[in-house]
Amino acid sequence: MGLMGTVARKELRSLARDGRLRLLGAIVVVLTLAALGFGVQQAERAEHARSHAAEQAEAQWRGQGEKNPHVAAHYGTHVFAPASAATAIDPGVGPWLGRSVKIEAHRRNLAAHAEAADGGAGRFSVAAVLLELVPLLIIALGYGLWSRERERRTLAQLLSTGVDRRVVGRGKALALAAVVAGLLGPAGLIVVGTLWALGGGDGDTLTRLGLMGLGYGAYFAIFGGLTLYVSAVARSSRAALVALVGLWGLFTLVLPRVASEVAGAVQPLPSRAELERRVAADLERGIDGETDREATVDRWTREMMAEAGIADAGLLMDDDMFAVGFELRAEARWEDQIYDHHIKALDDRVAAQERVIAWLGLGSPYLAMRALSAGLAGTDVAHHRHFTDYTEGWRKALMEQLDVAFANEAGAEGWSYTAGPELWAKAPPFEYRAPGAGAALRGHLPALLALGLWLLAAVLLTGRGARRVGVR
Amino acid sequence: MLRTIMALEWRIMRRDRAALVVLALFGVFLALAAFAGGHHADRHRAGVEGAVSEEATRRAAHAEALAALSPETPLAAADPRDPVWMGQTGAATYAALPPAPLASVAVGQRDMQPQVVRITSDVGLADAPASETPMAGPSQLRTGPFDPAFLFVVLFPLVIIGLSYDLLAGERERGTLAMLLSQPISQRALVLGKAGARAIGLCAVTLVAAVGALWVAGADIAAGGLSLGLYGLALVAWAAFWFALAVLVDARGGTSASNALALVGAWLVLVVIIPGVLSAAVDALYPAPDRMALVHETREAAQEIERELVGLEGRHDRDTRARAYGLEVVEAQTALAARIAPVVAEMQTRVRERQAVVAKLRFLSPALVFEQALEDIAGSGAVRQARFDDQVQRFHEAWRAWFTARVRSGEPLTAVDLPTLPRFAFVEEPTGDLVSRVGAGIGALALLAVLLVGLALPRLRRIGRLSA
Repeated sequence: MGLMGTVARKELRSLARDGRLRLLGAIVVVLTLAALGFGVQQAERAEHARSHAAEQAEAQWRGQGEKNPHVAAHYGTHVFAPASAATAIDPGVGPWLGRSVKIEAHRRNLAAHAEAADGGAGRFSVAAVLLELVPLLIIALGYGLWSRERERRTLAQLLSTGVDRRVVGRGKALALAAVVAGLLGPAGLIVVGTLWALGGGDGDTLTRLGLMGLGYGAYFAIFGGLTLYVSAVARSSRAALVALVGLWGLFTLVLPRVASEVAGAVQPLPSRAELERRVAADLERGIDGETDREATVDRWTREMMAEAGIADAGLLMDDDMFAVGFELRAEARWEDQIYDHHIKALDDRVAAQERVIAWLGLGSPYLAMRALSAGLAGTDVAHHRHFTDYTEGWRKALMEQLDVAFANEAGAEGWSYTAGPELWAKAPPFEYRAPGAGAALRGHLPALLALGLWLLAAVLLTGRGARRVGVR
Repeated sequence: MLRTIMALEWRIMRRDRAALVVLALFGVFLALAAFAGGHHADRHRAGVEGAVSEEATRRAAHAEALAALSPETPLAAADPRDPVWMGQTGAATYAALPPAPLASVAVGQRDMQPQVVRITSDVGLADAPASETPMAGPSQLRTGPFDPAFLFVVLFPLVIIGLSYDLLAGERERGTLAMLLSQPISQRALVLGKAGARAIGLCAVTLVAAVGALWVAGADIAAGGLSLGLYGLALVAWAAFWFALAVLVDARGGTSASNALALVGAWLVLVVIIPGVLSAAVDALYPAPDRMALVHETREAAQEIERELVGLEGRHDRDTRARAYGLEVVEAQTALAARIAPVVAEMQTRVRERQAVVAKLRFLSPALVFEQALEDIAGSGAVRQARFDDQVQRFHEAWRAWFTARVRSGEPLTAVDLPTLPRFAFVEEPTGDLVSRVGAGIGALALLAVLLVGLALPRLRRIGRLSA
């Protein structure tokens, strides 16, 4: 520790003396805390809106009075995506995804009411500060660690004492890490404490936050390593700074946009209207384009009636007052398979876009960490799909329940049959639970791989830089 | 003298490999951005064209059917004579916001806001209309497009910083400043000449590249003459602002590394931090109205009517062709529209208030001024989108009124009616308004540039002393 500690202490002193760096550090910390305050305010507002809307939807559903169960199925209700406390630090792609799903008969709706559609998609969050600004802070702190020493001719003196360059390099790295940890450590504790207070104190959230902390640690280490390497091999401090800022711009500004354009071009999505037209066409003729809708629904109706023990379905079919509940269930089965087919195709497309971006993320630690951070905050596409899939399962269960009530209870009353609040209250409970941290990690293996590779490269480069550093 | 300095500076620039590499890299990025911007504009155009041709095919089929049907034949399902079905589905029409000639410059609002809306006589409960514009993936929306606007707003200043951070500091560090100042030239002429030469050179290259990018993107350059002029002026004003800032920073007399750090810091604050913090502040102080809540408020306000309407639609045993059914639907929808109108109007007022605040706040960062100017030039700005939304709403009302009257009259549609159905045509904002709005932005940037140079001039006089 001796020499390394001495080098680190010396670097810490000279970094602390630089007024501009003190200002920069203060700016980053203030922005982190401001972003946290803003994130908490937004998350609380969103949670308030969500719970209010959920209560309203529930009240409207239960208070809809006496009506035919299928009319109630048309009236429908809405369900809402829950938000974890971690949304306050990383909203991920959440603002661009729908937050509520309309539940109704005959159709599977896409999630609607994305915040961004109304203009409320601020790019200001704790994650944005950590992903974009902290690397710049690291660059500003570290671009001159080797090069300035060379320019001031102190490097030659230092090396003439016969010290091991690698130990000096480790000392510089230690100083850089200490400054960043000193600035962000307390801010990180405030973040965790705030999330705890917001109700994120459960084991899963803490695991996610811990993993996020590790991820960001690795991410900062990558930039630290690159900075030290460039500082060691660049011709001058000025060249080191220009190269590092260029690299930062490439990682955080250029590559993400190029990756997303590539993803959009190779996996284009249809328009919403186009999707509806495709669904409408298949509803008429089946996914293969050759199935007769009426004959199929008819056959399924007979099968369902036979299953229900209504022996001579043929006779009863003439009396359509009686068969209508079964027919609705058969129709729902027909519609569901077509909606599921098309929405799965759409979701697969979006997932494929994410994969393209993830693999291109091997070229940019920023892209990899951004994906991992959103995954751990539960604000990525995979979590959204998990929610919408659960929602659709719930919709099917609710519709099935209403159609079964119609089929079993209506009897000869047919469409005139009405049910009341006791049936509405029997709706299956909507108890969505987000997947655990393990599932979130498994969805981001390319990002983990990218971060691992970059970290390895950064460690190797730090050592290489220290070995190669020249005195002039 | 100034001309000599500029000529020499050009010679230096032409031999500066780093500068040429930066310019070449920017050129490659611009070509890519032009390609991507063109791709976005093409997708938009294809959406509009697809909608128009789908409607034309459908209408032609209806015209043919109407000509063949005799008035005595009873109404069938999906019958083009049935005004209820035609208003809701059969004759549905499209309201499209046509792409502007320079659409490829900025995607702007286009990727989040519907550009082609299907209009029917249904009263939507403020749910998002099914748009013909292709959807974009969430990560794509989060990241933003790689369009020329991004390149000019975000990366162009970095190119300028790369070309101007060491105007004087470089001379001083190379030891050539003293030699230069021994010539009969003033410090002001030296700095302004050097900065001017680089600025003029870069602007010339950029303007040519920007027009080239439009050509690559397949833009209708001939139709967008005025926009093209504004585009050029905006680019020059933006470049002038950054060169002026570089001159001011250089006039402090610091080292080239500290100049670079200061300029990158200014870039970070103006281009990244202020826009981010401002959008957060707007979200916190003027939150966008929550459409999720709106759906429920309108549902609450119109509960009985909506239930009645759903009751009509949910009863599969009702004969939807009967006149009584049509009348009931139309009356229920009219009542529903009247009931939810105030809720929707209040939301729109809040949206407009928010937009007005955003439009004013843009003057807090030159980057926002420039970005909004580019979006206005590309026809993808908030003002044009708001005009479109308003016109769509009015058109929807006209459409509903036409079909409501028809259902009430009980008269079936005939082939003669088809060409007389309401049609949507977007009315552009008066050119004068556009020019004055964009002009105000350009003027603000130019004024700022002059101000910065004004601040730098007194300090420049001291330069010789500082280097001694």
